[in-house]
Amino acid sequence: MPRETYELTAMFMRYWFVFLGLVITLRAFRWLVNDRRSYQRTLAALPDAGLIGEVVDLNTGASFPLPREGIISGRSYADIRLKKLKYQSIAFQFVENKGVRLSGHGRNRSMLLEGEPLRRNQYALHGSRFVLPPYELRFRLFAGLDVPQRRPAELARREVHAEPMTPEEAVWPPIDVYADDYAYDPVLDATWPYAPGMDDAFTDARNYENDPLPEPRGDPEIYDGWGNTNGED
Amino acid sequence: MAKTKHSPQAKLVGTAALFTLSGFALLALKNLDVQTALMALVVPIAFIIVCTLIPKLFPADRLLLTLVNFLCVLGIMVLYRISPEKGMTQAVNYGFGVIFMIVCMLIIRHMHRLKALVWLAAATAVVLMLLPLAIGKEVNGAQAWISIVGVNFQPSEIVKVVLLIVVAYFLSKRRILIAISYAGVCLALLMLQKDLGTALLYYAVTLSMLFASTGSFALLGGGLAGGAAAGMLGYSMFSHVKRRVAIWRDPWFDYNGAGYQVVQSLIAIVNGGLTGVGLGVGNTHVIPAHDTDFIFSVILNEFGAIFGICVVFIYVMIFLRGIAISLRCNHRFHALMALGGSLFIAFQAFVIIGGNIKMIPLTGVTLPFVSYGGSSLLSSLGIIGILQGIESINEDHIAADAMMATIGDEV
Repeated sequence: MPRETYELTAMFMRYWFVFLGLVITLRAFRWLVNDRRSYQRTLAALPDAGLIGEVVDLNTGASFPLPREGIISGRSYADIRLKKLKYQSIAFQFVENKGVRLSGHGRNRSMLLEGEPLRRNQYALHGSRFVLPPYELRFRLFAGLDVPQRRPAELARREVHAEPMTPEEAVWPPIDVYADDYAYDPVLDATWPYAPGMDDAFTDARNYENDPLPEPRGDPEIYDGWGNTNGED
Repeated sequence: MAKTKHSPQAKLVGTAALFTLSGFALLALKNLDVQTALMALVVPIAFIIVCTLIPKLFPADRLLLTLVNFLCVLGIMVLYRISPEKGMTQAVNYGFGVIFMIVCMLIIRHMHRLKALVWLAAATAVVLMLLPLAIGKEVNGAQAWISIVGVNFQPSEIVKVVLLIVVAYFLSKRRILIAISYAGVCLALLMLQKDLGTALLYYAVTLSMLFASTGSFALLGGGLAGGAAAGMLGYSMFSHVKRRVAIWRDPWFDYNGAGYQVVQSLIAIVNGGLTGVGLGVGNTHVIPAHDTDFIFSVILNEFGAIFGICVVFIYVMIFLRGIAISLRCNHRFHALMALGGSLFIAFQAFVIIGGNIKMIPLTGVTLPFVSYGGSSLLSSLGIIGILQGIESINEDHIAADAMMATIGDEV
């Protein structure tokens, strides 16, 4: 193509390119704005999005939304800001199947979880009491989160110290074995120090730092206690 | 008859593909060769495939993908106009860049055990940064390039991605001192390489991530003071820094010597006017480094200032999208990574566009996604891959939250 012809063509085409450039920019901007609005509508329909529960101050009743991870501290950047905390800072992180991991407390022995000094990378569950002087907090997690059931502090303490438990105490949650509709499940209802033929691991004193908590029970409406779901053999 | 409603992505991808087709078709009229005609078909089709197929195979942010890919094909088109060989090379680099983007996306999405990987990556990055000092060659005053099997490669571009991950990891774990120390080591090595433009980027992004993580104005003030001190030290130590500042103040005093580059760029920009002189018509070869540092001047010359402003808006939208991804994160590590990645793209674009139009002194960084260079394109697309991976995790969390919200409804 002769150079002059090409130059004329290119000079006409430059308006086309400018037009397409403007269309591309405007369409992208419109998409950006609409997507943002759509996301805001989604968030408005999910007021608890990004949260896994709340932390309640048992002394005052104040509650703080609990995100999936963050820091409990007295600083302004903290996710859960407790103003009376001066130097203490606890990092928390939700871990699937385990609970809310608490860490970063160093060797501070004044922090208690379920009445015991907070150990390294310990997990808080629904209902766990956490003492962070001068605050006494309780964790409340949403239903539907995949976390183990919480054990009462007394049971946990006795397990850690390998104190013998009665058959009724060893079963959690407590079951009325004399109820008419109760169906004894040899796997779930077995009390480990007493059930014959059980795996040796269950007879050892529980070490919370290494052993995960047992699987929670299924929904009794679905699970009939014999290891079967309703409608199945 | 009901009117078919096209998705926003279909409209945007269609328009961008039409732009690419038109541009290559025009170049084909100029060159009158089969290769250019083939590029007029292949590049738009590849663009459509990447923008539509990747979201179907991997969870991806479609808007971000479309905008980034448009800039990439714009760069291929402009480089092809400058030199068909460079255009083809850039097209090949783009292919590798897309693969690297997918790899980064999958790594972020599926990486669960970070600790060992992060330390390994940090150590590898430091070794890579030492290589130019040991076996590198000096290009334009900076010893930042190495040659491996005949392929020139800039390690600092790849280390950019690693720095992002490492600093975000340590800041998310509240190990601020380690994060600052690591960034300091990388900065020191860049100063030794005399790659001050990249050092400026590393510094700006690290400081921003530090402030976002801690909220500490004391640290921010300290960082700014340190940066100012380093800037003054660099000004006194490096003669080419003094020269660049002098050129920025008045490029006309030596328009045939040190100021030639900036003067030619300004003349090209003004010559382009609002709508440009036309694709393939401008005298781009008179601008030094017109395929790397001054490619934006070429765009302004041939497509005009209006189109140039549109390109700037596209970078702004990429940055805003990255910030939105960061704000939607549930995990601190992901939020910091998304923030840092967005800032890298934004700062780099600002620095080079500002240098082209003489708003700030010129630095030796490239225009992300557009400039010629495999290392630059790879690292920029790698950062986009990281953003895509994070956004896919965000969408999973929203879906999980939506499901959890319905559990109460069933009870």
